[in-house]
Amino acid sequence: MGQNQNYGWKGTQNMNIIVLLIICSVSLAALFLSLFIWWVRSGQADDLETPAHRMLFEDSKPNTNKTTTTANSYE
Amino acid sequence: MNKVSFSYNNSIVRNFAYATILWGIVGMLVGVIIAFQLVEPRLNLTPWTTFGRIRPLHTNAVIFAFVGNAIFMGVYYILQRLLKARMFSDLLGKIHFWGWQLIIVSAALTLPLGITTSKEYAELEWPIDIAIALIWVVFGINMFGTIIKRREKHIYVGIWFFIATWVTVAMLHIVNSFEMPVSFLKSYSLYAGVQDALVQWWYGHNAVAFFLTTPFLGLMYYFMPKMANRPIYSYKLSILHFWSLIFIYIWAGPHHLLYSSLPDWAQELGVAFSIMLIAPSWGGMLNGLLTLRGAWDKVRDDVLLKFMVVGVTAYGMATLEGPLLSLKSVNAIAHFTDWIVAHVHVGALGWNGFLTFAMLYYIIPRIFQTKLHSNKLANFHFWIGTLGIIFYAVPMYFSGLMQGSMWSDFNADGSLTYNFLQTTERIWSLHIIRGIGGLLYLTGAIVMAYNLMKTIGAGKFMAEEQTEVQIADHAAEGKRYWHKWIEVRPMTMLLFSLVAVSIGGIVQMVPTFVVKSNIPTIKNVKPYTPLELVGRDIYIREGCNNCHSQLVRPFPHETERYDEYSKAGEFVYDHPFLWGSKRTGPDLSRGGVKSNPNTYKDEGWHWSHMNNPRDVNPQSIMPSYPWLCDIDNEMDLSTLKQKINAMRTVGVPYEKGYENQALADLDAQASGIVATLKGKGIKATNRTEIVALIAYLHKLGRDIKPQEVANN
Repeated sequence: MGQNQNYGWKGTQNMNIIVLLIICSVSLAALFLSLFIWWVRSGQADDLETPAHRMLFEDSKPNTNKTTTTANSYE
Repeated sequence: MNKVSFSYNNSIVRNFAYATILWGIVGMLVGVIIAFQLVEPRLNLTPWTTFGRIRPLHTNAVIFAFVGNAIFMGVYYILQRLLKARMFSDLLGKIHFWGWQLIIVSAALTLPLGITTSKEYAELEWPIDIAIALIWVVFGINMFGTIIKRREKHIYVGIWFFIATWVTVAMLHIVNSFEMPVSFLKSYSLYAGVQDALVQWWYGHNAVAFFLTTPFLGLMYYFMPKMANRPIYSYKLSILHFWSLIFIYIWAGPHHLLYSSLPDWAQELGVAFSIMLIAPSWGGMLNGLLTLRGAWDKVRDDVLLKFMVVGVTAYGMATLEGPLLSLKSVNAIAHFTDWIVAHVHVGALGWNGFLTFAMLYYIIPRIFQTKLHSNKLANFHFWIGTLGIIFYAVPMYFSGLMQGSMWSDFNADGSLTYNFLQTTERIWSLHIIRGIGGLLYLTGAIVMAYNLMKTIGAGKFMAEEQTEVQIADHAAEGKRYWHKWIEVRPMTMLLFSLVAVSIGGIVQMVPTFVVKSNIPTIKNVKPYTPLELVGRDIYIREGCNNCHSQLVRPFPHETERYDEYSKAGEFVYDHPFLWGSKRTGPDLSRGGVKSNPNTYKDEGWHWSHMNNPRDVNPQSIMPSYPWLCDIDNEMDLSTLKQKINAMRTVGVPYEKGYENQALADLDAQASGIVATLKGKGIKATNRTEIVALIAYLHKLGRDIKPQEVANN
């Protein structure tokens, strides 16, 4: 296949798009990293026990006792 | 300590729930129809309902309509309760809801009409893409607005998954949707060939990651503890799960392009990150399942938990299988086969479907202040759904393995053991069982709809759910901090900077990197002639790429069957690329290599084959396309000039002013094909669509083997 030798992918030609995708992906990672830093700094990570329990009790509805009779007997 | 009274907006949750049920059934029904079309081609019925046109309808309906509405239902339900705040804006919620439904309707109208970009899961044309971006921003404002005005300082882990979803989907959608409009409903991708493929699968993979996975993990982290009435197994693990998952996922896209013309290093990168993904994925799955530790007896009695357990287990299976499929040796067998279809359906039917059903069974009785109409029917739904998944997946695994091994089977003398049609015949009965599996699953969904309708009828809707929050000390203490940090600036800034980064940045970057980039022209590879271009657009309109690949991998059995393997340089004028991801039919990329009778078929053959494939191959399952051969159905040339201009703008080197000569060139090339057809006693004119399609099919691979053509 001698005549086909120059058809393969060579070096950086034709693949500039990967630069764009890497820029996008790295900016996204950087954004998530900054969010992570904010997350730690703002105290979101201070207590990693109670949130798991607290979310179970958030539905206190003072005016609607009826809703406690739902499909699930464990409620 | 002071009490605050306010109400949750349940109307928006209810609306999204209704839409989820409706579109779910529609999407699954289309899925069942296309499954049986592969068994009985006569089920293709009309031009608007052929497999190639409604397979994208199925995928779009189940992903963006069914799962999409389910995400919004869950997010609107959860955000208010976890953040102890009403949704930011009722009006934005309404715009979000109706906008999304309009987008779905426009998809349901355009796709059967053949209006498509051809890029998988991004088939919708540019005006709809813009609408999606706008509605997504509306959703984002509503979500971040609610986060800003929250009364609970801590942002529960589930919400972090929603934030990551929003950010990433926005970016993926915008980058992948850059296209050059030709007319109101037609565009060409800004990227070409390998580049287009890379962007598409960077998007396609992460659409799975950030539309079908991360939001549902967020939902799982709420509903699993709620339904089991126990805290999540490990909150710390959930945090680790979240941050590691989102960092790793974005890099795995190239595993969809293994053995393609994509540079090897990019392929290897995709493989490495895919393997790494097992860790966070299984961390998440185990965290969900272990929440039930010591409470497995509940699963016996509670149908919601049954759905959750099977759903989360399916997630675990799919996320182990995914990395395994990314291994090059496994991928060599599985790619282009039914195995991939089985894989995605374990995820879609098990993980997305079952979690959505559990959510609906959980939310509807609550907002209608009643009990579920029938637990028995829900149990029936669970079992018939599970059976449906098994009947769907198992035959497709068999079928995929069979395809993969039969395609690569050689005789002792070095010839291929099976021709393509033999493999199609062999898996035919497995496709029937798969269809039955889909039918079972759909039946379950219909039973659910009935059950929920009865529930709704018996209940009384609580549009405004009054609630009372005690602003606890820790919240007040946090208030000082996050008032300053969030409410004043950062979150708003985050929002605006994101929009700026996503749109502004990319608008600048894309022309820099793509349009002005030196697209290498290889001396033999020529741009499409006007007739070939029109034929290519017909190929796209009919969705041929849904069943036919245009990518020959460098394996002996593929080069034997399909001729020379694909090179990056062949695709430089392909806006969009048409590599496909599935070989329901054979690869077409060497349809123009005259020297190879396996791949090259003459004009008369193509005419007969398109008119009715059974006339040529009695065992064929391809739809008939008689309208392409109908001389009264003329090709659309009204935008030919615009097409040439648009192609030139995205980098195809048509000379200046060529658009004025295009029609004459088209006629010259067409009359040659018409004359050949006439010689075989077939009537066609220069405007018959089949003529353009034949010109296109005969262009494929022709440039790479110019000498053979000359010698022939």
